[in-house]
Amino acid sequence: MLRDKYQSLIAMAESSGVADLTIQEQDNVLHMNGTAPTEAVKQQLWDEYNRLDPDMRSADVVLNLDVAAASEVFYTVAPGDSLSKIATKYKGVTWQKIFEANRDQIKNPDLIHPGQKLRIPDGVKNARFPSPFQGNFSRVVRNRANRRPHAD
Amino acid sequence: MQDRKSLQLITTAIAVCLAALLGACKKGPDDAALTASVKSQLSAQSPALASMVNVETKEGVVTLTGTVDNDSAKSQAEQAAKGIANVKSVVNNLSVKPPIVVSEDPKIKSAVEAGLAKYNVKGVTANVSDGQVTLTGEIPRAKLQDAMKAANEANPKKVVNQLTIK
Repeated sequence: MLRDKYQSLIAMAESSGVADLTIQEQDNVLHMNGTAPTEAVKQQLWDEYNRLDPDMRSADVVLNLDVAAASEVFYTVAPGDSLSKIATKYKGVTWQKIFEANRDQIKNPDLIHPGQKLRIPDGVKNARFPSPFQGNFSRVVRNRANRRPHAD
Repeated sequence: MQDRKSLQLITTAIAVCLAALLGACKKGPDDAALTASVKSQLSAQSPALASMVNVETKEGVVTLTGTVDNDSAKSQAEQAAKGIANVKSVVNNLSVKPPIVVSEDPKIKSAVEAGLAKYNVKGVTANVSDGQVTLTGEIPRAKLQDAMKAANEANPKKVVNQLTIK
């Protein structure tokens, strides 16, 4: 049974809070569907699948995971913001990830507008910048806002 | 005379009771042992299957209950139980999950293509036939998961990865 081959993947899905998890083996393919609580959990499950099947050539899994909408965090662009500056406010988020998640509204990563609501993929506030200091922090960086912190 | 007769009667009664008790006692462990044997046979074949199948034995008749993924798992469990010595018969009350139904090929194809765009995967072609996605093309290893996510999230029957990984 494929459930045995992918036992560690199933156990991980069952213990990591994947909602509406369904697992079913059909025609020698293990189908796993569900909604991961965060992008990070989904990635963790993909990494486990990838570990069990390094080149992903077994053609015996369909891993169809959504990410819960609740894990979506939005950030409203303030004057002087840049993608890389916004990225520093969140744990494990890079400006590239923000750019990827907002391709529908950002054409040029160097050009964002105050008031734009950006989706922060798997956004967990960075503890290094607790909110009381956030005002200060943005003022300090505002001077550098015209610099391009990332190459094109 | 009367006393001896009643004593005899009582003795016989006690003997009959004891025999019945012994018989009952003997039957219990046998059924329990059969249940254990069926369970361990299932575990040996597939721990996952064993965890989904409930086994009960009464007078040598094994009853299987629970829900399994498909017909082949259902018959696998039945065969495993039938293969145990002293099992008189197997009542297979396992239910099978309804089969997974996937979208039509063009829908799957456009979902894969939307996914490839979403994950920013380039140079990958998706062919869909009979609900099965086949990926071809050349990609860097760093993009392998993204290409596979795009295909998997179209929820097809199967994903065949024929990508050349650079």
